[in-house]
Amino acid sequence: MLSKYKKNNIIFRIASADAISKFKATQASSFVQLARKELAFDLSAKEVVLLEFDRFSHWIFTIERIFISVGEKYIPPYLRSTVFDLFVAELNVIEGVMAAHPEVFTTDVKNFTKLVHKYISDILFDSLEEILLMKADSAFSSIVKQISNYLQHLLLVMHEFNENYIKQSLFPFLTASDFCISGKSVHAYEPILRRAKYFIDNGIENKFYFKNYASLELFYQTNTYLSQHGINLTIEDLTISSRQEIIQ
Amino acid sequence: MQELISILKQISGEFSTGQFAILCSMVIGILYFSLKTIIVAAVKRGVFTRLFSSQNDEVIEIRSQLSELATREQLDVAIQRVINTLGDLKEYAAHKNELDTQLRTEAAKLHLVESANSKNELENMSDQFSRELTEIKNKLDSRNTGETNFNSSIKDVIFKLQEVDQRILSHCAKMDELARNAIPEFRAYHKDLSRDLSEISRDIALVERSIESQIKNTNNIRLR
Repeated sequence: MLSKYKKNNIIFRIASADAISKFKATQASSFVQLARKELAFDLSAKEVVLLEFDRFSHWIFTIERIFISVGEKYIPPYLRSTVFDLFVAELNVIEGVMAAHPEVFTTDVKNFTKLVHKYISDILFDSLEEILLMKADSAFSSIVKQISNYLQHLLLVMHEFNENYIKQSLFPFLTASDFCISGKSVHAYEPILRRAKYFIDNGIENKFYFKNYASLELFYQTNTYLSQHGINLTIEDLTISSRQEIIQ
Repeated sequence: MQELISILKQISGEFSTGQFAILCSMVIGILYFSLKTIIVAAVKRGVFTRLFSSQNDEVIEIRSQLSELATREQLDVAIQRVINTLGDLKEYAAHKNELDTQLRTEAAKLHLVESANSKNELENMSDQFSRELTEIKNKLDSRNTGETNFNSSIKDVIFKLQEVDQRILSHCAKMDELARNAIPEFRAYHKDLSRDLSEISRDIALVERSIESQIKNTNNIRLR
């Protein structure tokens, strides 16, 4: 016996289609960055970004199916828990895949990714809690945008890992983005500090250039916070960046 | 014959003329029909055929003997002609091998010349391609995303790149054909060249996708 046909929520469909198309555009743009020869992305680092984009694409489509069932209403509490659970499950899948394929994912890139997952979980949980109180269409668009911001942040930190750790660049650097300073339960500059400590623990000197990808000027606040932990930050010299490109 | 006439005179003396005529007619009639019967019977039994066929067999035998003699003569001539022709063929084959070797050497030289020409052309096209790529890179580095002229000039460059790529690929196909004549060194070089050209095609596709993506998604991150 066929189940009852559920009529489509056109407003939600419009919102979800628009959100997903923007996500896919960001995905394409990120992959273009990975493919740039002058950046010489290591295979491990590149595959982390590709894997996470793939898994979170899948997650977004799953969430879309869930939210369609809500219609034009607010998201009930049991579905909000489902969203959180599915998000955690997705992170676990990613780490599981990385553990199962040491021929692609080195121990170092796995450890670095786990470090990133820890603080981004806190950041995303904070934002999801607020987002899931909205109506389904607005919530879905905001969730997709937030995931998109996270994945662009992941691209930046893998760029750091690739340059500082794998290629042992003469000019190690740290990046800042709107996403990584948006957490409430985690200090705004804590993510940058954790990554800096990772690099220092793996043999890199405690002096970094600062590359700001955020919409606001962040050097002063970041430098203040990091210097309290013995880390020296220098604002990015754009002439060095262009020299790096020539060396590469 | 004399006795037959005297018998007929004696018989005609004992009968009247009319009776003698009737008697002669009767005898002639009987003789005629008897002879006819005998002849028919003889024909039916093939007596005449055997009489004539024996003569025919001899003719046939003679004829076949004659034709055999003629055929043998012709055969001998034919065989001799074949032997002569074989000799000619052997000479021709020997000469042909010599010609073939010459031809192969000349063909090889020709191929080498053609492949050298193709190689030069290919190198020229590769240089042009590198120049086009550098132009794109310079345009991207100095771009102002507000410029609409930028988009159309980039599209022009992409179009030119695609043309160069097509020419390179058709040259590769031509060199493929040349390489089939299996000069080992050339084949090895050709393999490397094919691989390089495939990579160039892939790079062109990547550049095209990159430019399209960056034109559409100007708000997204560009790593530095």
